[in-house]
Amino acid sequence: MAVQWPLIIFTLCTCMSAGIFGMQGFLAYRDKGGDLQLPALIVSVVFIGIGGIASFLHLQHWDRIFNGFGHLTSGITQELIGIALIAIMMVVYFLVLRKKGTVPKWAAGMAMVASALLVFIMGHSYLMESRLIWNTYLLPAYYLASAFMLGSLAVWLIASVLKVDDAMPICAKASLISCGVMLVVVFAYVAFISTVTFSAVGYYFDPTSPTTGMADPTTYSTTLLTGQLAPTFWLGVVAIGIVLPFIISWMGRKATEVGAKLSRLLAAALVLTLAGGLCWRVALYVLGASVFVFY
Amino acid sequence: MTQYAIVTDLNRCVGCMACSVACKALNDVPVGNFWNKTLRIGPNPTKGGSGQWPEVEMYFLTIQCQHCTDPECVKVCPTGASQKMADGTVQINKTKCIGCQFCVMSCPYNVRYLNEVSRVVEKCTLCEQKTVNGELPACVAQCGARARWFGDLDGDIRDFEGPAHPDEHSCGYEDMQATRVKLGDYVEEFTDDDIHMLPDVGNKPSMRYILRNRTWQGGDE
Repeated sequence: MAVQWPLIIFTLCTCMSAGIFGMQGFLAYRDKGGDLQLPALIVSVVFIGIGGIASFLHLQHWDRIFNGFGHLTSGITQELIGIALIAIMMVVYFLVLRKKGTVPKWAAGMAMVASALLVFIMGHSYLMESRLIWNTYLLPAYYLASAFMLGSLAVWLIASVLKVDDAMPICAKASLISCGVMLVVVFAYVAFISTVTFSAVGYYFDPTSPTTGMADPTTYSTTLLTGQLAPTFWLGVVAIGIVLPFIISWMGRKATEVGAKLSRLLAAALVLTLAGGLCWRVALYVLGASVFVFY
Repeated sequence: MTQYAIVTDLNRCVGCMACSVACKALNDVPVGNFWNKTLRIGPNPTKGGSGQWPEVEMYFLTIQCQHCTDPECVKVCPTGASQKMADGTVQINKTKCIGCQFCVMSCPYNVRYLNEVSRVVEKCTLCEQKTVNGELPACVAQCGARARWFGDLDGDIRDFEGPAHPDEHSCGYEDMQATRVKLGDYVEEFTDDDIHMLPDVGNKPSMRYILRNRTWQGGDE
């Protein structure tokens, strides 16, 4: 399937936004990181805005956006409702923060739950029976892991830049755990992909596309580990997207003082995580063939 | 409940692609898009055969929107542009389509296309502009081998109709188009085991394919 860049940017930015909102909620729940709440909220809003714009660019007729979105079985409608609700919650979060100076536990809990729900709904919207490799709850699980990883690193970076010391250990620990979670989810997904079988018809020919070779459905199970997508997977997803951020997080956790060096390291880790997330999402589109894979 | 559908007798289909051309001509399908296309399946080894001539077999498979009973494309459409109609067909209200193409992704058979000019998704309509007037879909009317038949799947598929003279095998084109015969009266005998459909992942495709004395490829029926 052709890579849909606007949707990739949308899911990446939504994971980043929800991850930050959820992580700052977690910090607030633990009565930590008071000074980073507003900046983190602003960054979260910016990313959901970028994601929203990207998703609009995917639409061919965004001028007809008010035509509908009333069809509740549609994943897009559910996503839109989820984004609208989280936007409202962000406003509530902001108002509470402005009024009280701190975030009450109910608002912190709301941020965590809403973030996780939005990411799950977003992942769930891509579960389609026709797309065998997408049609697994490992897809929303991956998006949740992605949000966890991006959110912990981004909030850690914000804490480092703003020198919010009490948030640093929690963010460091969350970041390390998130790398582990991501590794488990990605390899569980790879194991799932190896079990998927497509419809096969033996030899065939499509006269409307005479120069295109036959699709080989059997390659989908191995392409990530040893086939054409192996460099994207091993280098992009695993090394750049998980192992290096883990090493940097480990180094950052050991850092004795908060400073520009740590911030630069964390910024690098965040960029690497985004790159890894991009690689995995691209791989999923390449693998996202329909059950009837022949043209 | 009505479920309009097409039955294709694959033993009769010669792969002339008249159905594809008729569909293109009637529905003004853009270059590169195919609301109806024909694949050659095979040559594959016959059952127990070596795979070397003459132990090989093949058939032509026409593929279009399957007007599924439980269409995934309708479920994922955010605006309700894709709809299941009273006659069982799946139609697209093009004024409601926002071009998100989730229906394209959700279709198991890749038979939905984005029209690059109008920027909406299109597909086989089962020639609703013709069937509403009692005519046959263009692919059925123009089938060169009398392999395609149109009717209501909720009835007997032997009652599906195609354009042919009931008594004369060689009549004029106008006569042929003006008269109809029933599938059960016209094609070679077949059993229920000879009736196949494309892989079903829960969408319940409505199109049926008759294939006798050969192995149906693709499975998942």
